Amino acid sequence: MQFIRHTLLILTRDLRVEFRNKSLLLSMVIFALLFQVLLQISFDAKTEAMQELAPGVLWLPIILAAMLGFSKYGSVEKENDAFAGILISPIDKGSLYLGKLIGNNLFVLIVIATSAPTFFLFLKQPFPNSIGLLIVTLLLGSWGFVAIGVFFSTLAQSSSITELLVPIMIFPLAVPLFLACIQLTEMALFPSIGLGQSIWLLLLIAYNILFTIIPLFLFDLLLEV
Amino acid sequence: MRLDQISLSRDDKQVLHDINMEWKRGETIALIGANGAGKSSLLKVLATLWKPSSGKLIYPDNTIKQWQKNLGVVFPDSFLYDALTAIENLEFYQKLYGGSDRKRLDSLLQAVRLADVATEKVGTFSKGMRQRLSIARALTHYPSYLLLDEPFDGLDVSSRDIVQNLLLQLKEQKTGYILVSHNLDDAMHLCERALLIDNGEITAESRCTQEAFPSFVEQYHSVLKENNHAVY
Amino acid sequence: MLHKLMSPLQLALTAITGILIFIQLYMAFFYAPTEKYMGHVQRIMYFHVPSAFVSFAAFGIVFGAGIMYLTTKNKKWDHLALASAEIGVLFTTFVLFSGSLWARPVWNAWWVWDDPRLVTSLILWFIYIAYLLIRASVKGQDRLRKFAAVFGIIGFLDVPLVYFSVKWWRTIHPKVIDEQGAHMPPEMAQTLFFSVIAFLFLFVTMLGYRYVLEGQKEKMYELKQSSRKG
Ligand SMILES: Nc1ncnc2c1ncn2[C@@H]1O[C@H](COP(=O)(O)OP(=O)(O)OP(=O)(O)O)[C@@H](O)[C@H]1O
Ligand SMILES: [Mg+2]
Repeated sequence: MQFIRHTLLILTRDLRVEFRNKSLLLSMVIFALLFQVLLQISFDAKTEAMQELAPGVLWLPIILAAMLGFSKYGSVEKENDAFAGILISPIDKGSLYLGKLIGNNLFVLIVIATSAPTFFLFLKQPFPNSIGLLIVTLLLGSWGFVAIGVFFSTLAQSSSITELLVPIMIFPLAVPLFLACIQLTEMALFPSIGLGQSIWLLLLIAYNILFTIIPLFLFDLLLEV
Repeated sequence: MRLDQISLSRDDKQVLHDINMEWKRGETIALIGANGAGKSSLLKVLATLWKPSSGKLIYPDNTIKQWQKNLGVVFPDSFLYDALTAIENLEFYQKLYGGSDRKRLDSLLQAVRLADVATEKVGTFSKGMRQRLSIARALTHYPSYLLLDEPFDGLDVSSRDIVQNLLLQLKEQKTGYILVSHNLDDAMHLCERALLIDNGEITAESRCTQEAFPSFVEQYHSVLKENNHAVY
Repeated sequence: MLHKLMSPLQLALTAITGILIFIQLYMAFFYAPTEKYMGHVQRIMYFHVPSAFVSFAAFGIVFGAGIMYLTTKNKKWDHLALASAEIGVLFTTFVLFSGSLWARPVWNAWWVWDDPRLVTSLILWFIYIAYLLIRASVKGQDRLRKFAAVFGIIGFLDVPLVYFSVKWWRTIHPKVIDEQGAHMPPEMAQTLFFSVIAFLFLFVTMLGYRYVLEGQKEKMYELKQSSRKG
């Protein structure tokens, strides 16, 4: 109960600060749209070729906008060393993780909500084959990526590791997630025999559970002195 | 609270050597020392922000969480969020410690004379205002131990008086604190005991009484002189 | 003097490794027959495959030592993890190099995305480069060490996920690579087996040296501390 209260406390504080500044969410959304357009222009391809490229064109702007979020979302805590104030407080640090995870994910979902429709607007084949699968993939994929991103960027912040290392840490670890997202998106966008769909979904779910549960329990241990 | 043979290294440099000290509940201690002596570092260890590289901290209730709960800190960094208002900042920190008592926050703001700017963003505050708010922030959860790292830094004369009176009040209510200050008069008036720290070691200790304190002051000055010789 | 720096065990191990590697070289270049289709290029296998074994063992040790460090907080485990990761990266680099040298004449490309083992090695290489970069910023602070340990553990757990996802990713497209080595002449199999053993010895020896070095660094650091204090 206390855990949930602290999670909400962190979440509402972050959201309040971010919505007051507005700049982060806005730049994430604009960045994703811009990048989306850029990709569409540079791959101005025939429909057949697009089949190979489309999942990447959909995901890359989202992933990079999310990366933008990881480094900036926590930066309020850097001014006046407020992060130290959290570290020395008696809360279970797992709630810090969960609060940040939910907040970051909310931002990424907003990015998706604007960037995915634009994607279809530009794409020559306007309707996905299976909208349900697409939505599930987008939800699971973004949650998993944000989970691993928040985990490592918050840890890096607490151990004064430079922000530059964060992408280098999380991209290789997220390879299975990327592959699963790309595959499932391809299946969702275009008619296919749906081979291996359940295996990819399973991988995605396993990945999500792993990177949500493990940090939740480890965070207190890892952040304690 | 007891410190047993605490040593601390930062970046290949040993900052604290074998510190032994005891901090009883309600006791007020002044920590005196030259710049770079290790005062702030010692407070960071006490605040559980830094882990000592060797030695043991013996917490009064044996658990670190309980210790964190009973502790309030005022550090040179204010821990405040610039985008939030004064009252929102206090509210956040109070909830972080499990409380929610608006009256307490109002009375604290009153006490540090910030009641009329309670709903303004901290980003617009001056240094002295931040410092006062930071002190209020440390007190929201009625801590029984306080760490004060140069709390008078940046305060004008009248704010100084306010904070001094606040500390005396706390002392009366048996809230213990460790005060780091470069002002020996403050140390003498606000604390019961003074420790001299030099190069990461506690080299002298004294009661803050008219009889005992002068020799402590002398020792402090001789340390400062020595340091100056080392520089030139 | 020498016996102070090296334990007899380490000396013996070094000697044995030297002999084993010597024999391994002989076997790889002279004992094993030349492969019918690929020719001499195939001999790369006697270095490529053992290196892959070593890198995997190395990262396994990073994983195990990380767990041990987190549970015991004994810095020795941390030193072992660092030593092992460095050697692991070295051998993974070699795996990637020898892999593309092999691929060039055989598959007619320096790099193929179809071989899950090769791709996994590449991702592995990136993961442990990141590990070493994290380590580079560790300066005697326990929080950083802990962080590195966690990263090493998660990185290792991630490896099977990477492997299978790359495999599924490729097998969905109808392109299959035939598994070489299914019908190897006995001389080849023997050489390969021996090479793996020899390389593992090489690894253990290197690990020993690197580990001792790390311990000495720490001791030196402590000596410096105590001399400054005195
Ligand atoms: N993060 C750090 N990394 C490396 N060295 C540090 C760090 N923080 C402090 N030190 C070193 O520790 C020593 C003690 O610093 P500390 O801040 O505790 O001094 P202080 O007594 O509070 O001084 P002042 O009166 O100036 O506030 C200094 O020599 C400083 O160089
Ligand atoms: Mg200081």
